[in-house]
Amino acid sequence: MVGLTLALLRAHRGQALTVFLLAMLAVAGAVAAPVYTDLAGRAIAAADIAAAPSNQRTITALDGIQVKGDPGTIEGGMVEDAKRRDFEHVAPPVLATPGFGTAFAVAIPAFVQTAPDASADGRPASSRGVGDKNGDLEFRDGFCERIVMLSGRCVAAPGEVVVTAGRPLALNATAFVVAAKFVGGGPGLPGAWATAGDPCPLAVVGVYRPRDPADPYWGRSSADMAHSGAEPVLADRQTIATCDHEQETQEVVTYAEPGTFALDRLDEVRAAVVATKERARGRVTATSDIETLLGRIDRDRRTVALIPRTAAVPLLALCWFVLFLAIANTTQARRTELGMIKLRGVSRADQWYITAAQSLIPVLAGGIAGYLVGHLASWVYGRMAFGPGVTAPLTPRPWAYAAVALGGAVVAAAIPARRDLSASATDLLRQVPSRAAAWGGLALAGLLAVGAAAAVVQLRDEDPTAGAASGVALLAPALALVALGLAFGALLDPVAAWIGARTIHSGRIGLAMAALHLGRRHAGARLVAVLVVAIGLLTFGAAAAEAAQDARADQLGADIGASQVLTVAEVRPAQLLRTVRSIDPGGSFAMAVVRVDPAPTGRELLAVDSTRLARVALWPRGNGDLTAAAAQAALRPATPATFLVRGVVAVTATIDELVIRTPGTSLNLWATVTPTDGSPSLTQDLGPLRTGRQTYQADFGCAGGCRLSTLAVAPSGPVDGSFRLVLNGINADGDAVIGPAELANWRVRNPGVLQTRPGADGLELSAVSSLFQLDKLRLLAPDAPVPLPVLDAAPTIAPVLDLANGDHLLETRAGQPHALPRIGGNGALADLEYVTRLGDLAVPSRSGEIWLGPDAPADAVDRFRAAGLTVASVRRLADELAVAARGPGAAGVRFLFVVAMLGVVLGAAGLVLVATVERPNRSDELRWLRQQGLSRRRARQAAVLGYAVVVGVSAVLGFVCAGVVWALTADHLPLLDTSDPDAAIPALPGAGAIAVGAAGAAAMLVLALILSAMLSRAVERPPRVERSAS
Amino acid sequence: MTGLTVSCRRVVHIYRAAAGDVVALAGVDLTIGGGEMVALIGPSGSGKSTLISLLAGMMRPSAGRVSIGTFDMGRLSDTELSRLRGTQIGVVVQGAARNLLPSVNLRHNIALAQRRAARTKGVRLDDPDRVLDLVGLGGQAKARVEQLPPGARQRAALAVGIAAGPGLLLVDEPTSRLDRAGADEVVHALETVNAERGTTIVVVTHDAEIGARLGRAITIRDGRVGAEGRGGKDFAVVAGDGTVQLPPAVLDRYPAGTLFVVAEEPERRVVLSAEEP
Repeated sequence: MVGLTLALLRAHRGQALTVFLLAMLAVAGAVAAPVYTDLAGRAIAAADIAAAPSNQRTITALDGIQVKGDPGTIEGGMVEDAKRRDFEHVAPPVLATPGFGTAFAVAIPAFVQTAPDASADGRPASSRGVGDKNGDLEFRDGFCERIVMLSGRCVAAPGEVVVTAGRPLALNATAFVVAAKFVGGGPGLPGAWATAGDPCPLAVVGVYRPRDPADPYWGRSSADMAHSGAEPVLADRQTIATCDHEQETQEVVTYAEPGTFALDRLDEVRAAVVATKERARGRVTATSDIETLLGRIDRDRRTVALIPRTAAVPLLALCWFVLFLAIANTTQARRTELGMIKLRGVSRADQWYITAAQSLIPVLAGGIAGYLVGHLASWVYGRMAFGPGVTAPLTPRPWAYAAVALGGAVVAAAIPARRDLSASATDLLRQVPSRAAAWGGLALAGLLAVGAAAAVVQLRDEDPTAGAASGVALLAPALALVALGLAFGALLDPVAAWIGARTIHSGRIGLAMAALHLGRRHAGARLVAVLVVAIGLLTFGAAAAEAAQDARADQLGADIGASQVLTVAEVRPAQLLRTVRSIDPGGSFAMAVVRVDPAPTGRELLAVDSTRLARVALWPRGNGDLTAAAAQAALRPATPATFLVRGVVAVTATIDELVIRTPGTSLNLWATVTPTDGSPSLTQDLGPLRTGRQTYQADFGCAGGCRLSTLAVAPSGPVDGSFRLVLNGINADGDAVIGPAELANWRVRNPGVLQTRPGADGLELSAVSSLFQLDKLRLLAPDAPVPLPVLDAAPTIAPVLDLANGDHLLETRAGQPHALPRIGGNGALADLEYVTRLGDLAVPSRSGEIWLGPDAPADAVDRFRAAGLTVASVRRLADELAVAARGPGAAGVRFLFVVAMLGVVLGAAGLVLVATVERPNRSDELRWLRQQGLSRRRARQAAVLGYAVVVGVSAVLGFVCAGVVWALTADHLPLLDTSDPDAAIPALPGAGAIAVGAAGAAAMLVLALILSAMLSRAVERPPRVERSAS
Repeated sequence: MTGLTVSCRRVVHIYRAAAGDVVALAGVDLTIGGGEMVALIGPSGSGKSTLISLLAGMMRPSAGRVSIGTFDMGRLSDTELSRLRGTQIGVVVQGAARNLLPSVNLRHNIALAQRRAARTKGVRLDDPDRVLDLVGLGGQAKARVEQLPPGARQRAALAVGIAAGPGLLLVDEPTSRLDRAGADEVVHALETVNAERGTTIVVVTHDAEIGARLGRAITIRDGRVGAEGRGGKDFAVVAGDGTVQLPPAVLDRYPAGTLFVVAEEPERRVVLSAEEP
């Protein structure tokens, strides 16, 4: 019997290979889901760990020690007992944790100087101020192994130090380290660093760089290690002890060793950290955010696991179905064989064995191969997607998935055999079709439809805001697709038969023959089901990938603000504005942006060159009618032209009333001009006010052109009095340029004390005050709107923008967006040019940026550098999208898309299978009809239309099914890996998804035409004629 | 194994067709002795193949009794019928290809046919080569069906039919689509099997010469045994219900409804005289 079975397998090796491959694919797909999930989880965990700040990888205990001096000294709120020095001995064993290293460190804040009385940059010590503390003198256990010596050697004895290349201290030089202490300070009160010891001369024996600045070993020094010039000066313990100092900070950092955060050990790590914190309670104050990291890893792993599990289901269903198709078709063809076997009286068990073995042996072999292939494919794909460092060991967990896949394959292989084995030998020999076939398929479709409906209802009932869908609900799309596919497949027979009957009467023989042939074969209905599911799955997968990609792009775009963002170091806002406009005068690709430093109680203000807002910025969703263009218009109301002066500014004013009750004081007229190059404003006193018509003037010497920004009446000191004057005109450089009519547009900076009234002679100003204050007596040039229009995503009660430099800008809400680029829902947007005109933003900002739009030329960054700007960093949306594409949700959706592509391959396999099995009989049929007079054209039509119509109709139905399933389920599935609450899933698959689905359908159609051509060629071959007896 | 006897008593078989019920057999009475070789002859649609199927246990009679040896075929379960076909009844259906697995060689085909018998106690089976020798295909054990000429294929089908050493061999149209030489080879093979094993052989055929060569030819007409030919003589047969079918040539002269006076005369003579009332 073994010999017979092997002989039959050899004889039907084509089918055996097909079944082997299908079973292998089913098991591989089922195994790949958990393996890929494991790999993706490890990669994402590794990414989470790598990106985690130091405090999420360490347990730290700090103690500020007062070495000498007043024990009651306050430093950062800690009051220290000079005698408490046991931290160094108590903390390390308390914080020791399995899998973690422990390092003790002690640091002295210091001034690192090149001479006993000079700071490192050569300035005298007396000029030292806040922020001049330029480093710590630090000891840390085992630091020599953690640094790379660029020159010299590591510390070997007391009195030696190593420094970084960022310090202006050469090898073999002497560094003078002066201990510092922070004095003053407190809530709302500024503090300062002051010296706290004698200069400690130390020999520089080496220049180092940290081996890994992000290494959690560095503990609280990690931030300094990442900034050139701020790294600590390293010495041994005794050096620290002997250098004169009052305060030192001791630290014990328990840091994760490499491999500690291995995915398989996270629970152990969690338990160990909890135990350490418990042990430290009451003995040292241990802080750690490791649990935050572990929580994030858990959440991301859960997210990445959701989609692959869901995606594997339709792949499995397709594999099983195509497998069933393969075996059912060939079993149909071999009914005579089975009848023959039954005729010989072979026992039922042997009948099963002979019939089923031909399918089950390749299924089992395919299952074993699939288990290995699934692992291998996942590893290879994981390596491509996540990099070579991510691996996953062989684990038994995929066995369960493999068992399910294999079980399904076995059932799919056994069902066709069971049906025929129950038939009689006579029916089999006479090829009487099985009656169970038709309504068995309908029963299955009905069962699946009920399951799909239940899953969809459960999915839609789950609250999407409460977290991802789970359980059976996740299977809803797969079940719905398969149920719809089966339903449409079941319609093929009656519809095809109807079309056949109609077309044959109308004389369209080719189409009629194709339709009648389709209507008589169950294989046609099954093929339609497979193709509908394949195209539907491809379209659904592509739609998911597209939606996820769009959501990521939208969120990242809104977070970043533009396609590229250049950070510019230390540039005056007006200068930045002018430079960007000179490089891009048309406003097609670049926009100057400044994050205006808010006051401590103020909100964030993003000042942008709004003339380019619509073309450059990536406008967030959810803003309704407030589009970027509408925002641009709202932020830039029209204003009169800027008044430029180069030399003398002369203001003519007539003063009717001037009362000064404070002796020895005067009220003076002041003018302020702002250079167009963004240099600091120039303010000059035009002279004390005098009654009568007078001209007040000053020479500003602004050769490059200055903008007249402000006129002010300022007291020489606190003054009690009143005045009323009429500004008649302003003359610049000898030309009368601002007359009474234009003066009417000038506005008071802060209405209240200063009153204005336009008149025929000019603008009347009057004020009565017991204590004149400068900022309340300012007139602003009308070339900037007052109040300043802002788009405020988080409106406050008081319509005032408070700036860090003490300035206050009156604002008016020009709109309330839901979210703004970069700053989201927390802050306001205003026009940069107007802000610079209204506020004193001449101080170089550390927050200058240039946003580049999608049309930016490739050399844009070089152009800005060539224009004198220092581009400190470039942030690209494309780069961040690439990183996000390796995130948990993206990993899951990518798996879904790969599965969908495999689904198309399976659909094609099903098509080839059906065509191959039926070609001999079909070609015989058509050949005999040709011999009886059927034309070649009609025979070809019958061959072509059969397959082409099936593929075409299935493709259309596949799109429809994808659309229906998408509309029902997509917005409840965890497809989007974004925290943006406004992220929305489109109601229907997008154009990209349809295009992908169409490409899959087109490929199938090409295949169908090839198969039709093969059938047509077979038809034209001479018929097989059995020779007579020899 | 000696040949099994075959007995049919008023066997009726009706099957349902699209146009209505069809009476394939309308009361067959037939006895075949063990070791006999019998040809069933008749026109298409006369019921020959249906009778063979009933004898093979592939169908059950609608009425009447079919006995093979001591087995009442109508009372056996499907499993028992299957076992019988695997051990004691060999069936060769019409068309050699429908008796052979085309994708395996003759040895495997014979081994498959012997499988049931091989597990039955007390059954001694011939080696496949011996079986092939019997039908004149010695040395062809490794040949596959498509490699054999049509006559040899039919003999291969016979080999599969006799592989299990059955007491009854039922063969449906073994010489159709064969030329004279091929047909002779097949008949010779049947004779050899009958001679060497004593197998009862029932052959369905259109060919009267085959019937004559086998020694006894039973003519089936309209679902009943119409006549028999033995030793070169044709006989009318009295059916179980007492009816006798007139030979076709006589029936042409005396159509249905003709009245005969039946007179029995001495020396086993019965005279039928047609009379007008």
